[in-house]
Amino acid sequence: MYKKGERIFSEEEARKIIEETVSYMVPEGRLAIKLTSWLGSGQSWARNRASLTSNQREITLYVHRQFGYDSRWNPTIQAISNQTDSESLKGIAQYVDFYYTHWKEKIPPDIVVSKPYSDAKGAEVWADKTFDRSVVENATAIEELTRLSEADNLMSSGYVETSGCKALHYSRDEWGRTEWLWGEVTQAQCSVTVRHPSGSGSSWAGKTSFDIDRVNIREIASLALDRCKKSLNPVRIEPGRYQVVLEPSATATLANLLMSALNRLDPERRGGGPVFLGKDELVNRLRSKLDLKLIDERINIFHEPTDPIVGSHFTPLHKRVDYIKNGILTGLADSYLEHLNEVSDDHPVYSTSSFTLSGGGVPIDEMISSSKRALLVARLESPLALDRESLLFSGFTRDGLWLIENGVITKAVRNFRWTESPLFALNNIEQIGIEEQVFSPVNSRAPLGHIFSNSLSNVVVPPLKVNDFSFTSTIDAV
Amino acid sequence: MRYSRRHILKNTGIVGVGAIAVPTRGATLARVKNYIESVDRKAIVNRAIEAAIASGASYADARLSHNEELRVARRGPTRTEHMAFGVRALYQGYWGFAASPVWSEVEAARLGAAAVAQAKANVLGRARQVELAPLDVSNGHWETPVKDNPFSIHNDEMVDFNQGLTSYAMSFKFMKGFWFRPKFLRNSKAFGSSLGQFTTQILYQSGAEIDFGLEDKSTGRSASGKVEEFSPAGLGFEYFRDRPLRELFRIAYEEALEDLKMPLKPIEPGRHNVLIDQSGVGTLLNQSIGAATEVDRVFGFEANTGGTSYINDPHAMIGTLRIGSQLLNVSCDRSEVGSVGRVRWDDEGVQPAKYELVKNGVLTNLQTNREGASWIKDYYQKSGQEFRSFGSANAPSALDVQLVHKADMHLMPDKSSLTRDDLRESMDSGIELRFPNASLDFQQSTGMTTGGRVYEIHKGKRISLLLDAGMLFRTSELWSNMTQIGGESSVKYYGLESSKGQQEQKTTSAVFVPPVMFKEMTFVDVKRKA
Repeated sequence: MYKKGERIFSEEEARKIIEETVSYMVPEGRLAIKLTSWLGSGQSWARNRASLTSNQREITLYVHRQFGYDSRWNPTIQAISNQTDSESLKGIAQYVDFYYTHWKEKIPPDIVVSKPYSDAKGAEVWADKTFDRSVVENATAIEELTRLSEADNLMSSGYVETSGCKALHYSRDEWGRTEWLWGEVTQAQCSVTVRHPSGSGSSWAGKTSFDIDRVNIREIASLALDRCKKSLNPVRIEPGRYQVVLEPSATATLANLLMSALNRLDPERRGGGPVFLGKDELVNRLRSKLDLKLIDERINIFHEPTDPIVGSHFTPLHKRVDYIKNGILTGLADSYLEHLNEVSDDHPVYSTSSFTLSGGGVPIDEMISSSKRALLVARLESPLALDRESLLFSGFTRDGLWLIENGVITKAVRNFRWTESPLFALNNIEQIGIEEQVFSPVNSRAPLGHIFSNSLSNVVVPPLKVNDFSFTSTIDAV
Repeated sequence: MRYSRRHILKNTGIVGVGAIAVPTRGATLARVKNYIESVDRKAIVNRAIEAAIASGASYADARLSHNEELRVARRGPTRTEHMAFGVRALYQGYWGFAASPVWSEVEAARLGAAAVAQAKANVLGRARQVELAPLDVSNGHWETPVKDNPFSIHNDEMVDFNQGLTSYAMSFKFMKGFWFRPKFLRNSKAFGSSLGQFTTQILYQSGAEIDFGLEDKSTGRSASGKVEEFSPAGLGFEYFRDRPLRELFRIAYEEALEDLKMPLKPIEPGRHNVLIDQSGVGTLLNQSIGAATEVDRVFGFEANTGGTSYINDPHAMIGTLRIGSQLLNVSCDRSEVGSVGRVRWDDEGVQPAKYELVKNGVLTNLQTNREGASWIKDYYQKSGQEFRSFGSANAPSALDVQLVHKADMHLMPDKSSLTRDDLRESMDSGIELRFPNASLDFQQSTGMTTGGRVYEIHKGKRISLLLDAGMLFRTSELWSNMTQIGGESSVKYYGLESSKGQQEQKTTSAVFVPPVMFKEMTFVDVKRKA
């Protein structure tokens, strides 16, 4: 399977495997094959000691045949395996073609015009440094940082992972035109939680990037350690509406909730049906609140594929997408290839999981010092949908909640349950900060799903000062 | 508008595969790889362990997994086949793990040495103590006993079954949609350790989500329902074939039909007595006590991801902490026939034991693996219990290291023969919760139910559906406020998925639960902001 000394497939080898699979299949009809190989190294620690260090390899071969371009109603055959010897390739090919050959007679083809991939390239998101990172280097950092927290009588736990994934996409349309797309991506992630052993304080810090140099384990750990000391012995205050200063991780939770609503939902999902931000008799599948003002006019949300922070080599459409421009909804994301033919180029494909939200430039310290009475929020956790039309969600605050009084942080506060909508919050913005990349790892191990699926989730957002944010009850967890 | 086939299918209500003639011959469910059993698994497992020991490991185990999964959707099948080989080694108190999809002797030697190399990287001066609880080394083979192996049933039969059921369901009045999504798993695994153990198992899992929607166009009202009796179980296709699926659907349909006509009311926030159905009790048990008693969570090993536990001082709390009323008795058991977590050996080669987790409201144990059991060794010795792992080590495949995952749990029913209907009829006024979701905080100490159906009960009858009602609770308050538990005949089975770990691992465990009445629980309008 792997050649001697080799850790991950090269483009040439991936191509050989796909070509062999294709050779076992009926040479007609639409066919898509995606082969990924992945290598990852994960190190976790808990209670101030390394608890597990692991090294994993994975392969995913995804063979997909579909009749027509609409995956909702037309038959689809999918088979997935992680074996690439000839016998396995033959097996997976025959399994898919068994259905294909029996169904093809019965199903009239849809008239579709397939669009070729763009020639433009996204940003380079492969870093050898990340892929070749030695576990010893990380272990040394973990040893140092856990010694520091041990000396402070605090407990550190965390996880650092570096991985590399290479993928080759192959597709063939009804007319036998084939296309190949090769992508390489590395990912480095580190997150640290520091807690007081008695459970009287907790804090967290984390970072992700394709580039390990931007994920400094020691810095992340010392930030978490420092913040834990500031979070000790939180006091209970009344729930209610507060002005809040949302740190970037908290902003990201709200922004993600809004962005995922811009994906057309799968109508086959329970309770599904396309819902784009609210009930509207005039809304059909293709238009909704497009061109209407949705949020604060200072806000822009876009995806720039050539920016290595949010860009991806894997995205087939290498052009900028503006989702929100000056608060106005200007773009929807789409997971259905079908819509490629129906929507204009201004509403392009796929995946709102990577984006930049910008619009301000106020340093977070200034947001704090200009607040009379507000809460500083580190994280908004586990949002649960209460109403999909108004995007009302409920979740918890976690790992850091502080009261700001007359421009200074005065005390740590017990966690709240929040009940709020990103549409409300992003319409009640007081100040917008400087955007930065937040912790948003993806499971790059087995990037399944559609052949066009984006395998990155890079989110760049600023801290925000928001008025009247709703906290509905206190919770016991610290 | 582009008028194509899909619009016709959509408009006639005939959808996907069912409308298409299916092949009548051919072994469509043949495995992608047929020679798994011919591989000498013992040889390669032993090769990996030898390599780890030769590199200096004090303990090593090796696992092979071959997982097959089949999902039968209306628009076609999705077939997944996954093989993995994982080796875990202990070196001077540090764990290392290495895994790949390759089953061979050469790979075995590489993985064994790599696992130790991973562990060695952490030996930098400070000691880490690991004690592994003793186990009875046993060897052999075990398989989930299934009558109809779902992987040898012809796909035509599956499709016919699906189509027949869908047509039957859609013939009822007001039916708007019906979803039947069966999923089958076969997990063939081998385990070996440096203690000289070698075991093989084949585990089966079958289950389906069965949901439907009703719509009365004259009133504009809609309702939804589900057939709850088919959550994942350790059974074969007989799970569907040998049970009165249509009858169960009809019962669920009639309940949904009542909902369609029931008056709607806003919830009156405040304290109410509540009857929670088996599904709700199962969800709450699984997410509160189920999660809070995982030994690694209790000791902070999940702090950086899912969270910690409200059992935050285990040495003082086990054996003394009251976590519910006298009525609360919870036991763990991975040997129940048909239960999704049923195994002969867990992923550390331990034969799981049946044990009491909560006795008369007091916490008496935790869910453990071999290392975790040693953290509460003092308690076992003090209380005269055996010092051992109770068998909760588990992982979705050998590509993932084994973690403590939930065991199958039983909430002990009342000795009476009370059913959910009996409990409702005994209520003068209150609320009944059906199929609620629950959202608990990262220490399982507070939570809220959302969704599902919430009924107002008056003189033993459902009189209205309450809108946007949620129960806000402290976990300790919830289980202390139990007033009456349903009898043995009212116990229902659910297989529930949970996830933990970095990287995330998903596993399924079972709950066996009766309906329960609780007094004076707080209800709120969940959509009301502060």
